[in-house]
Amino acid sequence: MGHATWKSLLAHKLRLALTALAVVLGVAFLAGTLVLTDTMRESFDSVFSETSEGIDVAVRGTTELTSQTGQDTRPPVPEALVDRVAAVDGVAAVEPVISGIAQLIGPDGQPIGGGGPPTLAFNAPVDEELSNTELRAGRYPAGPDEVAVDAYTAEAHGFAVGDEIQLVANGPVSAHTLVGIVGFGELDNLGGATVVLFDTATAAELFAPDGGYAEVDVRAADGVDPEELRDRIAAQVGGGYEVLTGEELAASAAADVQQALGFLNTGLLVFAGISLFVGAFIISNTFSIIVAQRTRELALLRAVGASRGQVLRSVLAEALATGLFGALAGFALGVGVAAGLRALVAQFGVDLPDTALVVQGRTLVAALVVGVGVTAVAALAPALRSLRVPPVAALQAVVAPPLPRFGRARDAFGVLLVVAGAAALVVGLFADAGIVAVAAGAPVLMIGLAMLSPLVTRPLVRVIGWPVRRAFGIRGELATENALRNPRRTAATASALMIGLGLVVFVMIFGASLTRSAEAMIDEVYLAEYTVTTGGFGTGLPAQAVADLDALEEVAAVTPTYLAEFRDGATAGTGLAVDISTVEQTLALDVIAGDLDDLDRDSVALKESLAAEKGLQVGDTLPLLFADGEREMTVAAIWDSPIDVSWLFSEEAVLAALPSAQPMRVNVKLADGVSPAQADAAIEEVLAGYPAASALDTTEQKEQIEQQVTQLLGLLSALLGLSIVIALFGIVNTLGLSVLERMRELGLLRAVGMTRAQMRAMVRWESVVIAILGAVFGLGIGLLFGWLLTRALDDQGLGSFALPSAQLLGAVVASAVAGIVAAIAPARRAARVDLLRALEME
Amino acid sequence: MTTSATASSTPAATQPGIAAQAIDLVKVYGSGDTAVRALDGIDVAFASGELTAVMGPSGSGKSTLLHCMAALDAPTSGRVLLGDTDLTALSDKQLTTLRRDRIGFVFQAFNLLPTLTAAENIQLPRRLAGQRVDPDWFDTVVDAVGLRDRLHHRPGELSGGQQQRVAVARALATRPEIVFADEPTGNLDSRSGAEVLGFLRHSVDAFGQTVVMVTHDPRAAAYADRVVFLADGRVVDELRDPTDESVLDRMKALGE
Repeated sequence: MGHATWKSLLAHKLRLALTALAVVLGVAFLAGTLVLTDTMRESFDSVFSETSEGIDVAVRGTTELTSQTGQDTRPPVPEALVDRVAAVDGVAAVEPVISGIAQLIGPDGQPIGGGGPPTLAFNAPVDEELSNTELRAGRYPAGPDEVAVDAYTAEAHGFAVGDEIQLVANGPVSAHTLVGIVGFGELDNLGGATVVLFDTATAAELFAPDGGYAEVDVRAADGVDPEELRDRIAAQVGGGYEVLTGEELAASAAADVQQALGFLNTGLLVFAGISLFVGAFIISNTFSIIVAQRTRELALLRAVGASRGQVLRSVLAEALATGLFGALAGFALGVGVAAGLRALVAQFGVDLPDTALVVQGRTLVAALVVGVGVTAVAALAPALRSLRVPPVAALQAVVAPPLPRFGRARDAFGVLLVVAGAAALVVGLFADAGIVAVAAGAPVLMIGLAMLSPLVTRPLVRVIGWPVRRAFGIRGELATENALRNPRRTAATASALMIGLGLVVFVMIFGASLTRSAEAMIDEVYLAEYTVTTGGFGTGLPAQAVADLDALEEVAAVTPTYLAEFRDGATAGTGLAVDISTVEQTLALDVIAGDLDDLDRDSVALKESLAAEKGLQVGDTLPLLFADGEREMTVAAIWDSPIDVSWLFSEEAVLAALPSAQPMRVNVKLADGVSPAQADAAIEEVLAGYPAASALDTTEQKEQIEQQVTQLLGLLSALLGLSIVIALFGIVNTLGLSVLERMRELGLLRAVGMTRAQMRAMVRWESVVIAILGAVFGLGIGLLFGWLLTRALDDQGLGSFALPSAQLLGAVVASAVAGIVAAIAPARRAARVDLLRALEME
Repeated sequence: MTTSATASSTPAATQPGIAAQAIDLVKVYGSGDTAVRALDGIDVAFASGELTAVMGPSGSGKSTLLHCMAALDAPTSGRVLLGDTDLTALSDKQLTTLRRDRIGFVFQAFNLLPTLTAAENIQLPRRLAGQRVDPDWFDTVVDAVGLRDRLHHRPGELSGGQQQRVAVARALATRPEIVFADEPTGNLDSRSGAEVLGFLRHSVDAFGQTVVMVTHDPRAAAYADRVVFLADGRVVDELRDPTDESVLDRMKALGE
């Protein structure tokens, strides 16, 4: 039997390759993701061990609050502590570190970086042996006019020692002389971040006006063990501080990146999973067709004495061989893709150490297990069907392929899956059961719908086929009839497309609803005509800029708005912190109880729905954990607004926790009678000193949101694109197998006068009908998911359900075009049919 | 495609009364030592308005002759004339439209598209040409083969004999210059076979249709006006106004 399986595989190399392709692409996605994230992990590990080189022990403030947005929430280390650390026995040298944000201005006048990796600033090291920085050229800065920058930035922007360069650091643009260029061990920059060094006094003035340091680095005296020194220092500084060895410091810094990479990994694996899910549909469908077409052959095997088990094993062996082949090819492709992606990361200005691609054993194991497993599971049902081929079928003139047994039972099972999947989805979305229920419900629902899809295929294909019949006469008629002749096969092929397309449609609807909700919010909530933002990572607007804007006579009020991060019990929360004196002029808040003017350092104003959920009223208190510790917050007011946050604080509440915090955005309300042109000119003049800042009016804000949503849509659609490509291979495969199955018929058509062009058109339109059927299924499922999600997120600011009809129509048209493309190869095969051989085939 | 254009370039135009003819037709399958000469320089003509049967033992080349004359297969050398058209000079596309518009076919089995009804199958060649069958002629043909009450059935719902009658109707529906039938009764019981042969005969007598039929059954050949005997790729004999017995006698003679 093994021999028969092998022969069958060899006889159908093309079919094997096409089927395996569904596995190859999904597995490549999986393996590529694992290899890429493993490699980046190792790269960043070595970045951080480079940067902690020379540091034996580090002391820094500690906080229970971990920031969700990457803000530094650690309290500073006071000056007095530095002396105490320096006095510890075994300390050879201490290096207090001041860190902040400084954005360089390029020779073209544009700010450098800020959209991605941070723009960091530090004080220049005093003890060079202790520092992770190394001078590549020049010297370290001394005095307020001098700076040093990292070698990567210097190279990329043509900065040389002696140049005058401009930068923004907590204030307007300032000019400095570049006196030094530094590297970090072998590296030219820190994982893509730009680095500016000031002398310690200047850095302190800019970033730590109230004194204190971000970290104190310590070099141990010769012969002193870092771990022992760590313990000694820890005993000296007492609680409230974290004391780490250099290695621990590197590991801790790496942990943040690891977490981010973990999210990336999970995100990409989800899409790899979707691709494999679609691949499983294709494999299942292909093996169903293969078993049907091989009915006579399988019957012959049975007739000459093969047992049912042997027949089953021969079909399963073919599936396993296909899976193994696909998994290995996918693994190889994935490693190649990861290498390509890593080269791409380097293009974006991240200088990563030259580590080789990290291909762990578990990546290969995962590729093999998933590839072979998915194929085997998908082929199981069709393989079991082969058990029911009776030996006598070998002798019958007309062979009826074994149909899935219990059509009714299958439908009932489909209904069961739909109900279970929909229930899990609804519970997950509305009853806070969370992402797990949604993640489990969605695929179950999809499988259920795919199982039921043959029930609606006949009427739907008639409708879809109607214009095809009208427009293309007999070709269209035959195409539609061919699509109808095996509704189960057509439905299964279309269902594979349904999944990818359904998710794209869902993302489109989600994006459109998000945009519309955000726009509605801007219209209803923003009383301010302008919003000033810096768009930078970790950089807000300096206090001076806020004051300058406020001083304009064209401006009636400015409201600096901060992101407030805190923890409410076990859950991390974010809210807005605003200047209370002006907030009611710039934001439309409907105060229901209490008074916003009462907001201070120790109070909070809650959205009505949140207050109701928590059972809180004005005057009640609740404990919230901020960066500087827990505070008992009094509810000062309860308000309502379509805005997408539920917690409102005063400026003081945030500044008390993070004295260096800067407003992420400043809302600007114009004085009466000021024209937009006047306002534009005045605001632009102030912002000229802050190149990273820009003022957006409400129209521009809407455009920005739309742009961001479009980018997100593009990214998600691209990631889902692979599953759509796999589904198209499914159409190619089904059509190809159908063409083989209909050889005799095609020969007859050629004999009675169908031209090759007509033949190709017939296959093409069948493909288009299947593709549009998939698009219709996809639209249905996408609409359902999109509607459910917008309902579920109603109270989180996603109130509007928007149908991007042009995009949805585009998706259907694109599917039809994809159908035409998918039909090219099968159509060519059909047109090449050898007339006589087809007619003489017995 | 214009018939006259090809006719003018054909030096040996067909004589009047001849629907189709083969001239020095050779068909070789394979090459070298394994080459098989299926047609070995055949010259044969089929008269208009006649039912001609082509007979011969297995391997005599009778099916190959039919395939070459019906533009289903290309001869190795020699010429095939349909009316004034030299088939050997035509492209695949020209041959396709020629089969569609000027030739009718009845195969031994699998004549019909399973997705189309009987009526749709009958209209298929015309529809492929983007035309409709003339309704009067359609009615005439359908009535001739007695299928009026089966028109909206699909092949799967028809008996083997009914399917072959649909195939005959389809072959006649385009009013082709010639109908080629390859063992049209080979898969039928004798009664259904007799019906199908009766319709073919009727089409010749009533409509002046030219029919060429390959068969190995002397009783089928007896419906013909003329029987051509093939052996080893050559015409070895012929018989006019045959009967069961005369055909059988001649076959016995050839077999010896």
